[in-house]
Amino acid sequence: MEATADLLKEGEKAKIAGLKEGQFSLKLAEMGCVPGTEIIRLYESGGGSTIAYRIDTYLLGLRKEEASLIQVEPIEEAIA
Amino acid sequence: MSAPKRIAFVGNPNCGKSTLFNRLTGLTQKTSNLPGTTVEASIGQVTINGEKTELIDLPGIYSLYTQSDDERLVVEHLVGIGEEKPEALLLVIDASNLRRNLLLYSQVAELGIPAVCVLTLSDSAKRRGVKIDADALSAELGIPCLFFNPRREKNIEPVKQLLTSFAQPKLIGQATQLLERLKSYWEQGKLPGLSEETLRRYIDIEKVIQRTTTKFPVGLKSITLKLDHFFTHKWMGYVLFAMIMMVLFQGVFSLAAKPMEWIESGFQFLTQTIDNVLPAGMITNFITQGLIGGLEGVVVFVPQIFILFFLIGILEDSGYMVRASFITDRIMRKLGLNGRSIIPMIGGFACAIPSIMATRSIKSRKERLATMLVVPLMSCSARLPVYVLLVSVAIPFAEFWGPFHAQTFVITAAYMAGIVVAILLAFVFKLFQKSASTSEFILELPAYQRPRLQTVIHQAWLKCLSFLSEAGKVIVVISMILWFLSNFGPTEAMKKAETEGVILSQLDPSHEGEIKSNLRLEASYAGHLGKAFEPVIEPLGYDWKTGIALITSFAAREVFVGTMATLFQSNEEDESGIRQKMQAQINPKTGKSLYGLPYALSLIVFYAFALQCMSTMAVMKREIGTWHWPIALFFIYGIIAYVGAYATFHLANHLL
Repeated sequence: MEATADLLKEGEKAKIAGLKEGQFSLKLAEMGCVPGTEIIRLYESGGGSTIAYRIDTYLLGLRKEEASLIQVEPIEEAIA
Repeated sequence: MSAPKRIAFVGNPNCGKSTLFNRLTGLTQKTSNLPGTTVEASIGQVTINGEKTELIDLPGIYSLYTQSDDERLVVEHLVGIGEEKPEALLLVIDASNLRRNLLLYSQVAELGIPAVCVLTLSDSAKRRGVKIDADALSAELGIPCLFFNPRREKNIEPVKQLLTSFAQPKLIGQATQLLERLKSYWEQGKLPGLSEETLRRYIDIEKVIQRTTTKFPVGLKSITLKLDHFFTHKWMGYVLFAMIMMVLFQGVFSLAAKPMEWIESGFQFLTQTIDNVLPAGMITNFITQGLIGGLEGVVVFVPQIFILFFLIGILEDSGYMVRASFITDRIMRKLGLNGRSIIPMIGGFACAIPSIMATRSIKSRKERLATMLVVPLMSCSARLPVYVLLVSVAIPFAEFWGPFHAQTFVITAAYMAGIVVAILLAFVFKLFQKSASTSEFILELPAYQRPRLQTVIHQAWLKCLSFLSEAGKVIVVISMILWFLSNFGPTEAMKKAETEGVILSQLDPSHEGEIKSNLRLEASYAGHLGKAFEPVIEPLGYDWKTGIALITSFAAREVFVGTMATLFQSNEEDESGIRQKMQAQINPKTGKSLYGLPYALSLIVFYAFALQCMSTMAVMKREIGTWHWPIALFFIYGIIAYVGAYATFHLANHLL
């Protein structure tokens, strides 16, 4: 199964891999959801129907449906 | 080099653009519509090296490929469709959010308008671990870039000097024939390959960022996240929302009471002065009763409307309202609305007119329409005086129903009834919509900030102005017409009323004035109108006098109070005067008080639901583009009001 932002756990950090084709993928891109950007799932409301993320440096509130357009991949942590 | 004549401010929402604009223009700014549109922009002046330059603060946008109608108008202004485009641009770029802000830059650069750039929020960029080299960025963009914190920095002179050094912005990446692409995007509502174009822009932007910024690691702990822990908490978020709303309404009622008294006594003084100065007669009576009475009916609402919009403005500017949208989106969505609907809906409690305009921020047309349709069901400030008059006629102040203060209970119930019906109707509207929804909720949650008082006051005042100009003219005109209708009538009938008055007052000389004026009113055009209307409203428990008040308040609800005052010949619009006279009326059929509790409750229900506001309908027409919806709503709400009032009257008669 493909990893998307709505499936991240609270506090989980990932990297945006791409955007699925969807009605609002352009809007998401304009709001800064672009490949390579760091994304962290923060908190949710309404039983997970709206979810807040930190995208790069700012907070973005999304519905679950829109979050499921954002494909994510794990961040390869540099080995210290 | 001297500054250009007209400079437009362009930037993302929440980037500090308006704060900078306020700092530069100070008291010179005024708000007007962008030429040929209904989009409001602030316009102000700044003097640089002795020369005046006009500055325009355009509403914030994320992209030139806009989603909502009002954003599109901003872009049309920017690219110069239908008029001259701005001579120069001041680009405001949020340094803490460089990538996204540069997307807009990369599009704007293609317009070829000379520009300069101000980088704001550098302190929060630092907190987020980003450091930007302004000189390197200037070299990349080809325009002067200046760090400036419009909230903190005292000396505005560097920004003024910046406005004398405009340059042609360099493109980031390839040019895209932006103007043609924008046109076909607007014509077709979509553009193939736009997502790819946007991603390509970002790839080029990333290179610019690599060359101009350095990053250092920081933690996730911020004040905003700590506050969000409470305000968006699973259940505490809703509790806090309810508490904030309660404080909001308490605040409005307690803060507005005094100014409203001042306005009332001011008008009373004015009326008395005119009465004393001018000779008694028709014209004086027209001025004091018709004209000034009508004006007072408008002005008296300004404190309430201003205070509610001021408090909502504080919540919006601080960043809370976005959270309220975030937590209510789920419920709103089930009703075919959007989390964004919450702001216009709360505004509806003050005045539907600016609130219907505020629905423009809702991108989906359906959700925007649905929001507009339910806003008029929120009990606006014009309904409150009607409720207050009616409960004070029908319920003694000291009465308690169980633990509840009876008067307060009834008024609260009227507010609740509006909300409940709004929810039901929104649901019904949703059922009638066939196609799949295009609904979205993608909303930036800006960092909490201290509200900017000057901006909030300015915005609240603008909302009052839209009430004054839209509702004001209607109410004043209706008051004057009503005065004519109730002072003139068919000659025969008026003569007969005179003679009858003389005879009847001989039988009861102590009530001479009252008897005569009642007969005159009955014989007047207004009396005829009310009588003609009586069969329709009799089932609801209303008499012909109420009929007149209902007809006149179809222009605007608060006219009810004024009409009742005129009808009962109470010279001052003093509630206790009207109240005593109303309480004395007996229904000839039942022998009970004509204006008793069933009557009052029935009327309150009617007023809670009926769309009795011509100005609201006019604004709705302007926003939607057709009269279909306002007229349909007028009948839908009318039927609900009629049936509701009928049921209330008979139920109350049965139970009491």
